[in-house]
Amino acid sequence: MLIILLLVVFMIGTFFGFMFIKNTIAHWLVGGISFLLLAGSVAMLTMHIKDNWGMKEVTTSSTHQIYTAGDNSAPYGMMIKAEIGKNTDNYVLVYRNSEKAEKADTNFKPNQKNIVEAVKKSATYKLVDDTKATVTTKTTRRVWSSDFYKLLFSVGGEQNELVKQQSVVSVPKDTWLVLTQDQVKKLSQEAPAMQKQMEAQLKADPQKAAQLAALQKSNPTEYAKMQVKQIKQLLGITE
Amino acid sequence: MIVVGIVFLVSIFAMRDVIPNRPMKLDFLSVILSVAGFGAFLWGFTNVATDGWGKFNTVIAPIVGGLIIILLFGLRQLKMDDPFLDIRVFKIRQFTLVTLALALSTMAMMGVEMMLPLYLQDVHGLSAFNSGLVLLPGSLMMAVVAPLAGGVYDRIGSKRLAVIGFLVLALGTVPFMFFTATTPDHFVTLLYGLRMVGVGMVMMPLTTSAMNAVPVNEVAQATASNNTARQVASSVVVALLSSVAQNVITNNMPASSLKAANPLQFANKAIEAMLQGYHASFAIGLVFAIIGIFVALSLKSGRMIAGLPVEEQEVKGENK
Repeated sequence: MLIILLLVVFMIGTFFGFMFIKNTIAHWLVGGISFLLLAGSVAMLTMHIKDNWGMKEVTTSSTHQIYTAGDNSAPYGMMIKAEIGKNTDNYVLVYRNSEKAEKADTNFKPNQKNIVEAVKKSATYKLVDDTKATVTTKTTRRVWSSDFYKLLFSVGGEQNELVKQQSVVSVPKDTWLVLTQDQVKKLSQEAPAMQKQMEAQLKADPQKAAQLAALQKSNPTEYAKMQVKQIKQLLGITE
Repeated sequence: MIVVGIVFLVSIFAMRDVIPNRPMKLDFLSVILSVAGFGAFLWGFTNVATDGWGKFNTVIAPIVGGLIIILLFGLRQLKMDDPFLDIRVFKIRQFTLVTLALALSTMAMMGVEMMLPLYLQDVHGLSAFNSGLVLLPGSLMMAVVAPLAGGVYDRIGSKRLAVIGFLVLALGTVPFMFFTATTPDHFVTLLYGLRMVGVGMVMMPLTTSAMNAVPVNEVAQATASNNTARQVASSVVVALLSSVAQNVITNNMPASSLKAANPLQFANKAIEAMLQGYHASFAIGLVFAIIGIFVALSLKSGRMIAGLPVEEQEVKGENK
């Protein structure tokens, strides 16, 4: 706020000093000093514009659990990924942010109308040895480094300006599936056939069917693992 | 629109000539030479942005050819008794210097004024309406400064106004070269306003000064010469700015293969390329402002009194 005042006052000082004061010494003194101060203020503003002088970066981190993008009743979790470009390790990811959400959310979709902001954000995922899927977001923002600078420059709404935002989704490697849209499509096409085949197999072997049903109750994780393995085999995912 | 129509109709009947007219013969050869010369010259410059400086047919040939025709036109004017455009007014040193300073201020003003709306729209993503609003206070500054500068001009003349004006203009242009993609609009408004104070201090007093530098009977001729110089200057600078900015942008543009591989990075690099182009054009504006400081320093100080011959135009203002 102060910078506006400084520029206006020193500009008036320069104009008044050079144009209206008749005494030669006073004229140079008032006009000259005002102009130098004006130049100094412009220099400060330039430094602020160029290097964010007077601001510092603060990084915060937050983590929360995420839920499957697929059917809530399925024993395994599912996340749908879409890479932005090729080999950028930057993804749009589809999952539920809250367990009760009816539909899965599309996360990290870049805002094409604001590329300058969008390019600061990135999101990727990793497969971890865990049972819960989580998302960790590290956000770096700019804040005023002191009240003095805030007083000087805070007109442009720069407080909390985003510098960088990096999100990493951790997905359990054995009980979750991370699929591309094509793979989801393929799965939904081939799932009924697979289902039938399995049912036929289980009918032929009632003992195994009972075993599986028991496993689903006693050790759902193991059951999910098995299903994930089967689907991965079907889709040819080898990671 | 209706108002414009009424004003137009009324003006046909209601307007009286302020300056007495002299009957003049229109010299057709002069008309043809001037139209062809300035036309070709400016046409050549406007083609620079699209064709680049090296293209002979549309850039080099018209500019050089235009210059030759303008030269012929000038020679003819010097020989004529009653010239079409009396370029003899340029013999008056003060008039020439003031005209040069005016042309420089026009070019320095354009350097930022032309590219700033594009910067606000392309990089900040503002609508045309909002980018206009960002620049509005700056334009209003000119209206604030003009009467003040006029008052000062009446007392001490144009030199000091022009020197300080060009200094402020140059100072206010420096930050523009460091604008980033996220520079707040408020700072753009503020700095643009500062520049316009400089422009206001230079333009109006210098125009008056140019007219006062010549004898009354040559004011009409001087106005024509002065206007021609400014028009040519602004056309040339627009061509120069758009060609330089365009070249810088093209050179810094990321390879189109990146668009498929990493669209976000591509868009970001494209914005950076644009920024560099705008920075280049702002830098040109700064250069003109700095040259303007030196031209202004070589102006005669003191107040000019309209109608007195140049030799008598000594320092009539306050002591310096």
